[in-house]
Amino acid sequence: MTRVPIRELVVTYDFPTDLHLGPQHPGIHGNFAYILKVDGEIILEAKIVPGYLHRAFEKLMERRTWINNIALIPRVCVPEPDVNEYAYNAAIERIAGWEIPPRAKYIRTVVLEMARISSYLMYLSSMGGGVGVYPLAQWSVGDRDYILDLFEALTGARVYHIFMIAGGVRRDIPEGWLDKLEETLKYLEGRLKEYDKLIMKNAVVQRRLVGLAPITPEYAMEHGVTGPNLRATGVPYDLRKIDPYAAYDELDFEVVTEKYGDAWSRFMVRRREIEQSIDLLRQLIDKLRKDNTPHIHQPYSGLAFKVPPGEAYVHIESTKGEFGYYVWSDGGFNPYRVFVRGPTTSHAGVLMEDIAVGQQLADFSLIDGSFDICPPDLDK
Amino acid sequence: MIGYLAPLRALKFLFIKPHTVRVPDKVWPRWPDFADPREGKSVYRGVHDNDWTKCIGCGNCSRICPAMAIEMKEVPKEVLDEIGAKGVNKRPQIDYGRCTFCALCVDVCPSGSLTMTDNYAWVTKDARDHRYFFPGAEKWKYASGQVRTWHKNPQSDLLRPKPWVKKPPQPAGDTGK
Amino acid sequence: MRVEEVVKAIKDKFGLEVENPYPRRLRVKIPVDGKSDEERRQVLRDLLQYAKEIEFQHMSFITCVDFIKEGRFELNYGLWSYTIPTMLVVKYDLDRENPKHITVVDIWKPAKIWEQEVHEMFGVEFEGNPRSFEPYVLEDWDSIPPLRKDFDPVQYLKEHPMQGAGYDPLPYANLVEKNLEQPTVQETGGDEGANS
Repeated sequence: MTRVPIRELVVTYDFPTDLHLGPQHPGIHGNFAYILKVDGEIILEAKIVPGYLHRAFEKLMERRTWINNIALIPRVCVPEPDVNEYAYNAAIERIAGWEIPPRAKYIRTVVLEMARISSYLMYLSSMGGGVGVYPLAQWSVGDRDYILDLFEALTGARVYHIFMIAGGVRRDIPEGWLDKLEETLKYLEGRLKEYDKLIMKNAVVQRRLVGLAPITPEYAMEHGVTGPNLRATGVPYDLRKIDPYAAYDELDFEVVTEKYGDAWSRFMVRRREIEQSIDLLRQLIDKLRKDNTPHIHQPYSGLAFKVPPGEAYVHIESTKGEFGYYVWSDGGFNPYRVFVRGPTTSHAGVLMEDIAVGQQLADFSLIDGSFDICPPDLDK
Repeated sequence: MIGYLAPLRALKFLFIKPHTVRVPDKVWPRWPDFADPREGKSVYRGVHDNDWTKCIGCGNCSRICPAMAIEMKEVPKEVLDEIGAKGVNKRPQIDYGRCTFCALCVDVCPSGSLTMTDNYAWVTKDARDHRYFFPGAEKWKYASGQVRTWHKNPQSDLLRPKPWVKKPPQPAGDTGK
Repeated sequence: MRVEEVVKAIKDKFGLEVENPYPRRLRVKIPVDGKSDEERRQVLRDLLQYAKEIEFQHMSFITCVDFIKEGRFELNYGLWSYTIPTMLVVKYDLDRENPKHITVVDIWKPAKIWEQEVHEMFGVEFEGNPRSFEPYVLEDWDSIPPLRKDFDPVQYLKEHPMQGAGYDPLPYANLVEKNLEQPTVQETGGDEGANS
């Protein structure tokens, strides 16, 4: 056995070099890859490599009937599947010209707001993992489970609900569910105070996030940024107020904004929107107790459902950004073309490649997490 | 300085009971009958169950399934005459590798024989069993469980639904299961 | 600026009819009308540039629909304004046999990635955007662009058998063909809805 001096064992790179931040990485949320050109610790260029989650939804949806597609639709976005169900069914109702009854609107809005809370809790968990403060990561996922239990009692499944259908929702609210919802909301408010004391006021978390990757409103709108990322730069653009859908024109809320557009602002916008969602849910519970209209628009058969010819685009304020569905119908049993507009397409494809230049390699996973890059709606 | 000492507040959680569910210490799951510690709620969409005396073999469930998971298979006439079933001598067979648990098949069943139960975990010795699941046959009765949860009712009917009748508003403070 | 003013401004400046089918949705189509490709492309670019000057701040999407019976591709450019508020969809027809087009990446930045997706799924060539010629989600794709209506996935599956699958997927693919026939509601002879 020969002995090799230690100095010869050191491997040297020729910088700048290519670094593959590949699809299996604990810092990237989902199956998504980047190819970074690094010089030491500084990133010079970034390029996305999408395609690991491509499931061919747009082609599959053309080969199944209108009612069959509701089982396929929630799987487009994993953390928040109700946004897809709502947009697809709202596009069908727009083409067919249906006015859905108020109770169906309120139930749909309750489901959308609960999905918002559970998706924001998942965001807090992934930021906790990125910063390194693991109690936040475990607590958020544990608290999200209470919301999933509520979903199970209402819709029958915990993650992929398959609950909305053209004309309304599939079932009405069971007995006693509204009281359980109120208890859960009170519990969550108490937990948010715990998060504030332990994590938001933590000096290490603040040092890592304040001042990281700031953007201005003009830069953001030029790069196609939407959703909470845009509100964190200071402009109050919320699609629930500007282009109201479901029951949002009857509810009373204010748009949450923050000033500086850095990672800390994006983090705080989302944490404050959890409180806004809890408040909206309380208003909806009051409205639901007083209302007794039907939960679906009109009876139809699931086996022979046709939509008249036309096209419609519906977009929704999801937790990731602007989520839209454009549906074309030619009057048959199957859709003619369905286009899914995912928010991550502009965030990852246009914004990440420009903003990562000049940042440190150790912060890259936090930048990627703070913009909430979620690959399923990019790959479809 | 306070910010660096703030995490010490977390020590109080040493004395608070955790909110996770404890799996029993017996060997879990045992085959063929096992006790799972947490049942699905009252409208849960789990493993199917079919009532062969009510099923008429029409094939609506097979026609609407979005994943093409249900196939109608021939059953010998003697077996069906014994239990007194009417209709065609075919019964649905489900492939759980493809099923999405959407419950559209339950909502278009004309006789209401196909239901879903609260069972979500199922253990067998043969690795290919999940593809030939025959809900309602004698051999598979253990897998379905006992409690019927998602069944077809006038609210979720998708076959020949009638206009929905208004119900009175729910009073506050009425807690169910 | 209000929605009616946008309709009037586009009609005055470009002579195009704008439809308003639903609240906050506008559609305008650039007609063929005997003009050459160069002129129509210039109209499209001028319209997108003008929309950026009046208050359209955000490019939502660029997508394409394949109308195979009429032999054309229809490109849709979706623009959204937060302050008016309204959406404007600009429609542009391309010939299906020879789908060559020009890029708009110098006017709207997000077009960089949307054009890449349209190129891969439909085969439209955007000259001037070198990024759009790279593959988007499919690597080593060896057949026609997959979202066209004449691409048959069952045929592709027969020619390229799946290796490593636990069972043969071809019989299930044929069941999909059965789904495309018009479904009929079968009249049943059994008893009616046994409700809970």
